[in-house]
Amino acid sequence: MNSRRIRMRYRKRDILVAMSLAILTLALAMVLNIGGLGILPPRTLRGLARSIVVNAYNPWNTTLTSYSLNAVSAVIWDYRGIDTIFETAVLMAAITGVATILRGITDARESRGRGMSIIVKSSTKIVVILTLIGSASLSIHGHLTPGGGFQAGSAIAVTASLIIIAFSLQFLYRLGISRELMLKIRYAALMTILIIALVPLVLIVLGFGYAYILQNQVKEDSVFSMPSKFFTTPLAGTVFIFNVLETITVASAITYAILTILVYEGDKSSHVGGLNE
Amino acid sequence: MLIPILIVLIASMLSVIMAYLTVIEKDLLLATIYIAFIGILYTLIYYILLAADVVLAYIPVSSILLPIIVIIVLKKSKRLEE
Repeated sequence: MNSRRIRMRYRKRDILVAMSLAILTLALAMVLNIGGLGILPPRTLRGLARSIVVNAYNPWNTTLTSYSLNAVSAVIWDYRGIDTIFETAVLMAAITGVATILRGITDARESRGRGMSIIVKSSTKIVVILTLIGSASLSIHGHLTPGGGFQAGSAIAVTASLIIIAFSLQFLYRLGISRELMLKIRYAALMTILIIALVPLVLIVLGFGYAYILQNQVKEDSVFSMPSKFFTTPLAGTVFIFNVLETITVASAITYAILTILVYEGDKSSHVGGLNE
Repeated sequence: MLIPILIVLIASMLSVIMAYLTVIEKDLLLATIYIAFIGILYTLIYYILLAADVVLAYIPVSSILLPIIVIIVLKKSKRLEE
């Protein structure tokens, strides 16, 4: 091999520009740290953060606590619950758009995929099982340790992608995972989230006093409460339930998107978009 | 105390270099690998800055799901840009 034949991928000018950009970033960070780009936020704990840290798990203040040891999960599903509902709605609207635009597509089940070599298959089996166990732990312990619904759901979607790469798409269909099933699971989980959010209003209907939408624990003028303890473990009521439901929703939605994008080129039963017959 | 700051510094400067190389790269498959590398560097920075929840959400999305979707799109279109 002659060394002249190997063409350099990047010129010297590109490397120099990249290095100068990195040095510019470093200089901006130093100026920002001194305070030259505006007033820095204070380093002490502010009032809102202090109230959340004090009240996330506080059995002595039953009207403001959520019995969740993970303060981030308490904020996301209890103190800021309706924001998170709409945040989930953004992702689900994107998946609905994918399902609408690519609606004329059928699963190609007749061709048989062979997958990769036996070494890759064996290691992928181990990794997939470990990832599933870790995702279940992330989801169920979302109120005790770092983690939560979205993290566990995306990790489960990663296992589906690994199976597609290492085995084949046909193997996934043989496992019983199809696009219609994913859509059905997603709708069921979303409707369950909505129903759980509206359960406290049953009290008003029955005439037992006041309640709030997305209510978790007892408030000052309401006696409604989700379960706060599972034997001796803190079970943060709606935080735990919403974490599990969000896991199912996100996993099925992302798996559906990947399966939809992966459709074979020659197997479109109708024109995508349905504009021309 | 000094070592985490140094790791954050090196990772952030490397991520800027990788971002520039991603923009000028003509082979889009290689650019996708650069994007995944940026994801690894950002994960390191988030971990050192004690944002555990963000790390757990960022690992699957940045280093697996985004490259897989981009690679599927590249398989259905062209690998080299003009």
